[in-house]
Amino acid sequence: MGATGSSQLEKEISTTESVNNANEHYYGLVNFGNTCYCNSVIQALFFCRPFREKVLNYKQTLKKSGASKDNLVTCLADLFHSIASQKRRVGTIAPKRFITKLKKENELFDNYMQQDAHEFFNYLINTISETLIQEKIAEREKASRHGTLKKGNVTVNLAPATAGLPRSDEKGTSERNGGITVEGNEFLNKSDTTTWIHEIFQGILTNETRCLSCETVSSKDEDFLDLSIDVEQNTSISHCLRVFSETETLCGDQKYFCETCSSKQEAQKRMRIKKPPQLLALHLKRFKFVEPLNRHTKLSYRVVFPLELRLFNVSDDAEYGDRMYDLVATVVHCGATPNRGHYITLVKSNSFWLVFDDDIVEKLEVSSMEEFSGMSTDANIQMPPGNQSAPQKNSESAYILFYQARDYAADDPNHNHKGKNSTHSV
Amino acid sequence: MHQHMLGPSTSLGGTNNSALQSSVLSEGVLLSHSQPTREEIKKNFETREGVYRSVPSAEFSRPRPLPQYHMPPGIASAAASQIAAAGSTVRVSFLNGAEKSVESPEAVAPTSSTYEHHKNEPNGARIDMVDEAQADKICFNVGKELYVFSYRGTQTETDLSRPIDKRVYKGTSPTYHAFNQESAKNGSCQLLIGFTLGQLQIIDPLEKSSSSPFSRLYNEDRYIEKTSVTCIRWLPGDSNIFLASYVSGNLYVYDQRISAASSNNNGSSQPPPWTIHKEGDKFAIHTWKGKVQRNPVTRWQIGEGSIHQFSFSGSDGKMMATVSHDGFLRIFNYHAQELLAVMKSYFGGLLTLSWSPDAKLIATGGEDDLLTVYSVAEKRVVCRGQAHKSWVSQVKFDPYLCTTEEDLENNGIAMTSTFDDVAKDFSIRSGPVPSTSADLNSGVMNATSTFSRCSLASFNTINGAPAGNSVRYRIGSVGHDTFLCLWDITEDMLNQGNIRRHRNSTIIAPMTTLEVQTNSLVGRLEDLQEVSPGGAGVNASSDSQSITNNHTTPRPEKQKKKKFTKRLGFSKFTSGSSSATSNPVGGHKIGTLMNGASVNSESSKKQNPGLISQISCCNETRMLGSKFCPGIRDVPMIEPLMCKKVSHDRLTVLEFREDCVVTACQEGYICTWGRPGRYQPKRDCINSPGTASPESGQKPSGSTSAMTSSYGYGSDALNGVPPSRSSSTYSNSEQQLRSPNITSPSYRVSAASTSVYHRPTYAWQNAN
Repeated sequence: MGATGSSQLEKEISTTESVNNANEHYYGLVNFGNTCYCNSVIQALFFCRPFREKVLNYKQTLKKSGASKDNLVTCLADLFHSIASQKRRVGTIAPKRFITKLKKENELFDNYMQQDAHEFFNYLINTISETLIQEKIAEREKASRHGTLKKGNVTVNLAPATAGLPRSDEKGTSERNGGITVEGNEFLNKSDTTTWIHEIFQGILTNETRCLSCETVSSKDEDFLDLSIDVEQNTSISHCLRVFSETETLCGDQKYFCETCSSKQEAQKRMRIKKPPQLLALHLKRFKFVEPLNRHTKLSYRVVFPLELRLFNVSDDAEYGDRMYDLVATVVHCGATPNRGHYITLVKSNSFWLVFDDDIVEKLEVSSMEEFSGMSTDANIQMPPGNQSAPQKNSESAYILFYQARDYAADDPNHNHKGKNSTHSV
Repeated sequence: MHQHMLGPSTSLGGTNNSALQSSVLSEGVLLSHSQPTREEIKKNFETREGVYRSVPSAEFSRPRPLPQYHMPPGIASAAASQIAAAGSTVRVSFLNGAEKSVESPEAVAPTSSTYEHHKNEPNGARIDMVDEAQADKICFNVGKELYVFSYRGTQTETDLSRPIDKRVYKGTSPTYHAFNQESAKNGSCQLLIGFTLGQLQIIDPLEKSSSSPFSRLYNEDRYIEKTSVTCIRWLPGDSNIFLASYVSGNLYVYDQRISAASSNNNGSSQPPPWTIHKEGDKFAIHTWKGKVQRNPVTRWQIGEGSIHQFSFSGSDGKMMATVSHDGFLRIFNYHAQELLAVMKSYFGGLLTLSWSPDAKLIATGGEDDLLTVYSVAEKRVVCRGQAHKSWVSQVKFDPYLCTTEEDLENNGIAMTSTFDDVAKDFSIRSGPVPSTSADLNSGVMNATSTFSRCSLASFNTINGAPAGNSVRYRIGSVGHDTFLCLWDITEDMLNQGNIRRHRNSTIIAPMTTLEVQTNSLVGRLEDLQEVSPGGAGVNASSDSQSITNNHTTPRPEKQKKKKFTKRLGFSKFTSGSSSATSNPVGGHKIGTLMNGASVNSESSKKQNPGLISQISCCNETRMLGSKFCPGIRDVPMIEPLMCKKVSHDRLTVLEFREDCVVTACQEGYICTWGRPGRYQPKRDCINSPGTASPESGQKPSGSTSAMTSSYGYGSDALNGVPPSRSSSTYSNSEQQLRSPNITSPSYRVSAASTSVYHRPTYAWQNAN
């Protein structure tokens, strides 16, 4: 299917491409049997430019140092590199080495079952940051001991995909995953635990708790790499984010231990964003565990997402609280249940949108983005005006949204935003 | 439902009982299923002016009622998925009957006698044809279908089986439609329809002769434009000119007097050779090079991405405002083809806009879930409203509940004799002032200081007076969240000085929740205030700039009062005398502050187009915190008067009419809400005993009653009384639109089968 489809895309791209013809490559990824969860996330991350550049950079520095490593990061870097260095603009590529490595590294993915794309995303960025941290430690040890640290066996305890709260990342990844050996910890300091993964994805949530008895407000900051958001029918992502930060009252057996009162008290709690990240990854909790059914079901609710976003749920002391985000990529889940179905990715490149469906890459009209919001009533989805193709499978709904801060993108010469390049038309 | 519940325990007769039981069971299941996700849909809502009630007899849908209204959410039905194929947004347009005019509410009021007439008719079983011609018409599109019905507001007795016109299109769907109000005569009218594939069609749904049905097509072969039509308007004051906006960001002006066919008579498939006539910041106006006039006459390229909606100011149509996917509201002087002002959403695209009746304010809604109120005169965001849980799809000013300054003038309510005197005093003082700047200033200063004392007094009375004695705007908004919100914009909110005071003391309730950091704000607002009167001053000539400076020099605490003074003084000036334009002192200044129209016409005369583009967006629009896009805490965040869920599906339409409010949702379900005192639900309604009181009913039951009553008429028509209109209806639908280009998807009006109107096809019937 590649040949005719891709040449068509090539034509479309060349006609629509703007003046600053970035030498961008659009390559579909071959599916090795239910690996669309992986393909979709890789495509999304490939088009998160800061992430891609860091990954490619990693490969370059590795090459310079002459070391040869074989881990998930190098596999990813090789894959990114092979896409970026292709002669043709469009085509397909088989991410075989990466998939093999992934299955070898984590038995969770070593099967032909459908996996959760968000779970994979978490695993991937955590693994990358751990690898980077270990390398830093190794380097430090090398410098101090003139020896090499034997690479620790990294084991990762995956948070379940449905875990609601963003995981605390305050003490680096070590605390959460427990994957770093004890002797490594001696060398951990702030600079060691901060990798470019954190630079890109990490934001800070502030957890404010007000004791209703003594009125003392205590706040605790925690880091996050992505936010998992509850969804409601016929809402917008901004509303879901506001609900995420709504004040909740802790009472009954959830009472809060107040330091001032030295006892358990009723309290009000809210969690707001103190530092919005450079790249805001929003995971929509569409897979809900239903107790009586004893399985996960999918919430295909219609949750609209704008192409531009500002956060309403920032704390008063937030830095860059009103920074503007642009949607750069969206992982979409298609299908009625979590275990069956398909993942595709919508990606913004230069000034247009593309759909990556495994090895198929197609252009997408901006006006049809709304189609991927979900179902407004349970059997109803809007067809975009102008699109006269067959009715959409009506459960196509955005699952992970990647919003990139505009101020950040300004440093990126290849990123072409509408508000940027052509503002001064006169 | 509760009666049913009792069924099993009171052991009735065998067969009956089991039937009841099964129904109880199914309903029980449905309820429990729907509970967690569904909020109750309101059948009435209360505001400070009273209770709005849903009018079941004035509900519209496609004649084949939508099954999902009788099914629980979660159970998809074949018919529902048929709807799913429906494409474009549901829209509603109205044609006001012969003897009415839209513009003034007063003019509409006497026609209620027509309603009386109908009420007296026995059950309204047969509708007099003469009356029908005079009645208002409602047009709506659902999927590929388009319907026209008679509409009598709260007095409507819908017979869904007897539309005045019904059309089913193939390959393309109607997206927007508008009646030509000005050319409408008894028994004939023009309905302009835009389609997903970019075509435009004018039809006459009232036309009686079936031999040569009236239809005129524009952009038929899609050479001019291939994207979908987003909005359509007839130019106010000219019944021959209409405009259509597109997803591509183009807006075309058509002239009916020019032959439609001329657009492609050169036989080429190339897009027409446009030449740039005028260019500005992110907009360009193109015209034809040739000497022969062709349609479309003009092309406006505005912003980036789809123009979601556009609208003309008031009845004069001097200004045209557009909202686009790029998040900008743009206000143009339509005839001068100049950009007057821009505003940026907080984030995301703007989807809808509405002019206030006096054309001083524009309300917008969009993908930031916010209502934004923009002052055209002062070129600044007045306030934002946060209540919708999703995108705002339609905002509308309620012209019947807006009290503008002119209204106050005309009714003489707010104008105390003292005030009038002072106003006269002012005009006398400032009138003969010679044009040397020193005298000028003293004149102004004198006048204003006299003024401020007085206005302070009148301010107090206004605040203390009951609503209606002060300037007030009512705005309604509907959104993708299925909620209807009503907002009141009061004089307090409009007055910048007041806002500032409020912000310091955090009087406005919503602001407290935001925990305003006052210190940083004051500084910011100070800047704003310095700039805002000069919104015109920046681009106006230098002498008016000096006036601006002189105005801002007095002590800050007086500034607030002065501003208010000007507000009240303005309409007196412009309407009372021609001093506003003739006198460069008070006239210009006050005009600048208060009247968008006069400022714009004035300033546009004074400056060349280049200046306009300089002052427009450029860097400033990108900057959060500018008056084009104030920070979230720079302007008040207001709360709605009322916010209710009124639909299952996302709402797409909101219309304010004299006796009612009309909403419509994407499922193609049009609801009429009687205004307080304008509609009394019939308690003895024969067909719908369960929903006699609207308070008790949920939407499904309400719709049932609507269907049932319409049903009666339907069967009536089937029982031998031939539906008089239907013959022409069907002949209309057999009409085939020419499609010369084979490659372009053919779209034609399909021959609608009469069986659509037969009882057995009502799938929902079984559900009851």
